[in-house]
Amino acid sequence: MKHTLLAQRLLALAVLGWLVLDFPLLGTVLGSGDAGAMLLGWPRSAWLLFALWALVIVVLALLMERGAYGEDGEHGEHGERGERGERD
Amino acid sequence: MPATVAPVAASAATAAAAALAPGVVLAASLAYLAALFAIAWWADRRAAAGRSVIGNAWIYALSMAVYCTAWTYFGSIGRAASGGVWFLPIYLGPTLGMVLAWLVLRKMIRIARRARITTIADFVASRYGKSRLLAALVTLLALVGVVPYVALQLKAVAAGYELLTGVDATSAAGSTAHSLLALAVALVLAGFTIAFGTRHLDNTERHEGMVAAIATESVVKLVAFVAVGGFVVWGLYGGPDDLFARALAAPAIARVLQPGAGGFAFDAWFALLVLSMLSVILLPRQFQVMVVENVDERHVRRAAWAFPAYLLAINVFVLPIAAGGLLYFGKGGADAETFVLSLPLAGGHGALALAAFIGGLSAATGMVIVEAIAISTMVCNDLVLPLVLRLRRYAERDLTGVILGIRRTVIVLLLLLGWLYFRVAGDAYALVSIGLISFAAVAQFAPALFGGMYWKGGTRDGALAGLAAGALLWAYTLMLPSIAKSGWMDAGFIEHGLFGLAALRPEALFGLAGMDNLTHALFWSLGANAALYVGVSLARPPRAAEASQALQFVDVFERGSEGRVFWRGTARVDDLLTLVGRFLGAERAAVLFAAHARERGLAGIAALPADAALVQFAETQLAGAIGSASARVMIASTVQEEALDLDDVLGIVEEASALRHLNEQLQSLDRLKDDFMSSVTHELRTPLASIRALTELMRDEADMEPAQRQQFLGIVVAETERLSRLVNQVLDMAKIESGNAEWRTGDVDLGALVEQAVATMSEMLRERGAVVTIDRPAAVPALRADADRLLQVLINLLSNAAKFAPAGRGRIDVRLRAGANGLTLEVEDNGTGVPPAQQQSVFEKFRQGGDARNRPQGTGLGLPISRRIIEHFGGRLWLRSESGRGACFGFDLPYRIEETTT
Repeated sequence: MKHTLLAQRLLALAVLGWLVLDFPLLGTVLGSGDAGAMLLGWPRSAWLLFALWALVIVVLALLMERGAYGEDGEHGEHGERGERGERD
Repeated sequence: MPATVAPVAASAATAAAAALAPGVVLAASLAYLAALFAIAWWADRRAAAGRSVIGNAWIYALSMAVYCTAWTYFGSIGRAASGGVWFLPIYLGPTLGMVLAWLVLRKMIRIARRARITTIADFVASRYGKSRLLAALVTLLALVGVVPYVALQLKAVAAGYELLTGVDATSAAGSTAHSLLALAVALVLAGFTIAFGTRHLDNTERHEGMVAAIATESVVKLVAFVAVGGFVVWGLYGGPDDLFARALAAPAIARVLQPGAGGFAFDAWFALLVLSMLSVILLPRQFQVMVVENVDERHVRRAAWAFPAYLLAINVFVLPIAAGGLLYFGKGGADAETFVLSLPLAGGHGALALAAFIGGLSAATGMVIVEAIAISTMVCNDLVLPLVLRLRRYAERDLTGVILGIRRTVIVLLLLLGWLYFRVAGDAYALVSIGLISFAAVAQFAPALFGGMYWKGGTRDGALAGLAAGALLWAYTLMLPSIAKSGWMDAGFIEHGLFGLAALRPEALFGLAGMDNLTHALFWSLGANAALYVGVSLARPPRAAEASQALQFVDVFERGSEGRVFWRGTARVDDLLTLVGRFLGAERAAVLFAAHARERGLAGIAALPADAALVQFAETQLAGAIGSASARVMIASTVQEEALDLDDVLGIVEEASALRHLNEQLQSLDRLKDDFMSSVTHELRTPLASIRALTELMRDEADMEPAQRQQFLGIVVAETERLSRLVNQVLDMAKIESGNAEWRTGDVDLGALVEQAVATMSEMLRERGAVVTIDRPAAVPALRADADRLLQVLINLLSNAAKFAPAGRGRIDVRLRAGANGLTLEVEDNGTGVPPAQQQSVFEKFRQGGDARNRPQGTGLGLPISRRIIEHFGGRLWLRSESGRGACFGFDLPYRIEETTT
């Protein structure tokens, strides 16, 4: 597989996603604070969990939609013809 | 709080405050199913007319949401009511998985499309040399693994119906009615699935109508669930602040909502993430909608984030509904899994409760339909057909009807099995726990499937060993205990181990304790699976069939990989046509073959050669209908094959890549030729235009001054000379390049030739006011070369020097040196020199030195021709120049040459 920039970004996001949605960082989200902590009307832990989840989705959406027209070079092969300008 | 498989307090009927009439619920359910069917029928019609309605990324993403079943709809709330955020990892895992969808899922789609792979069993089997045994094993595991999952849907629909209509399932009579109801649900769903998925046989196994219906169902279940959530938060309570403030005030509920308080089982959290991440693609129904039903790879881009966004949306209200239900009914007051129905019912909103039930029905039917279609295709292709094909009475028959019959039977059997599991184990378990057993089963496909996509060394034996070990450990550590705990078999072995051996306790295998049973089972089964897959694969190198398939899978994105055909032998077109016709219908086979002939630029089937490409085509078409393993066997029985060994496979790959390389070279030559043509035309047009302009002028102006006329005629003659020089040089160049030039090789005295060239050019040099000095030894060894051609080169170099030397004060130094191996000649001028950027391009055709305004006359072919001539005699033409300090062109020629063909 060609490791294009997009592929590398996706891999990095996957690693980042695992970091924030799993042990040990998740422990700081769920385990800390007093039992009754609330944030904007919701339990703080649930709120943060959903926020992190949404963050991963938003970053993923940005990555996927931005290159939707072959920016990663795997779809469109840019023609080499016509690039050699006539110099004489 | 780990994901233990814990019995649930089964009292569903406490909330039967305002039950609905059974007739209303039944009518609404059937009307809904009929509407779905209408949508599917309409979408199929549109597809047949070539105006597909599912060809966009949003529909694709919605169809993926078949992941959310009754488990999500009812089970998540039950889970949240007992474990707070523990319902979530099942949705976080797929999100993490979808981050890589563009890399992994797209590769699966590409592989599946190219080989007409239609099920996950076929995918795995195809990778490992189209192994029938492997296909059967994957199918068996998928079938056994999915049965509890189907049972879960039946249980949820039956329980929901009973709650809505106020039936008490706890009494003896109620219990029988309960199971009969589930049976009825199973049969209705079976009928529906048959109607959706097996009305006709399609060799791509794509079901546009089904996808349209599934996408609709995803919208319905989301809307219904969110509506109930909104009702609970803002209807029953005064918004989230009010709801959660009250919930946290009750210690029993607050404990549930604050998961971190009592220590957090991160191993279980991790296991659930891994499990759900794998399941989102490995469950047969997910493979069906994500890989087989995909219409365009590019849809993966949007679906990769839209599907996780859907998961997030449908989960937002899980916690509020759970908290609201616990508050409303009190802990243990009602079955938390049916809060989504009992809360609206208790609030007096019968219509909302009915809508919520329809949403749940939607979630359950969607799952059952797609899962049953996928499983029936697998069971038919990989378990039943191999047996049927051995029976002599099916040997020569058209089998399309038989295949459809098998699939329909399998669908009914699957739902009956689901019902049986529901009868055996269903009541003792929470919905989520049942679903997780299925997840753990399909997770066993992961090592062989993903390993096979990225590692060429995996072999059939490795995949078989890994899968078998994983399946056995899954059954022993998870499936059997679930049945035993329901009281249908002696549960003693759970406590004391098999044969009383403590090391064999299924939930603490080899003394591994301290995990919940799911994490424990996953660790052992997936660990042994992966270890054996790698270990056994490494025991021997891949065989030819495995290696060729490995290349097709791992290198699927490589250019040229689609053209490879790993087959040698002899075949007959008629045999292949008849064979494909037996499984796809004779008419359809003829259409496919004719289309294939057209694609190859042939008139029709009669013109098709019975070559490897045709055999490959026939096998691929068959694979779409009966799976790659059976297709391989059928093809092998129809044609005469030569067995390939590993070297043959590698040879074919090399051949294909050499061909590709050649093709690329040809294309680039073609492009060069085009460039050359356009340059020549351009060079011809300039003098022609000036000749035409001047002659027209002279024709139209009769009273032109004779001196003026004379000047114009002079220009016309010069331009004509330039034209003929150009034409001559183009012809010369063409001759040299095509190898048709005539060379008269003889002994050449280069010193004398230099004198001759300078003498020839003396007139032009004097005109330009250039002074030439010749610096040469008295005698140099003779060269074997063509004197006329070398003279041509010398004159070209001298005339270039004269042109670029400053007018009136030009200096040209010609130096000839004899070295050990050959002669070196240099022609240096004191002109402006060649800027570094142009030093390479002056040797290209039609690239003249100098800038456009003061470029001297010339064709732009002199240097390229000179270079060819020098190279022909084994030498090298070069340029040494610093901008502004003159240019020095020169060449080296060896005394002895090995004549090259350029």
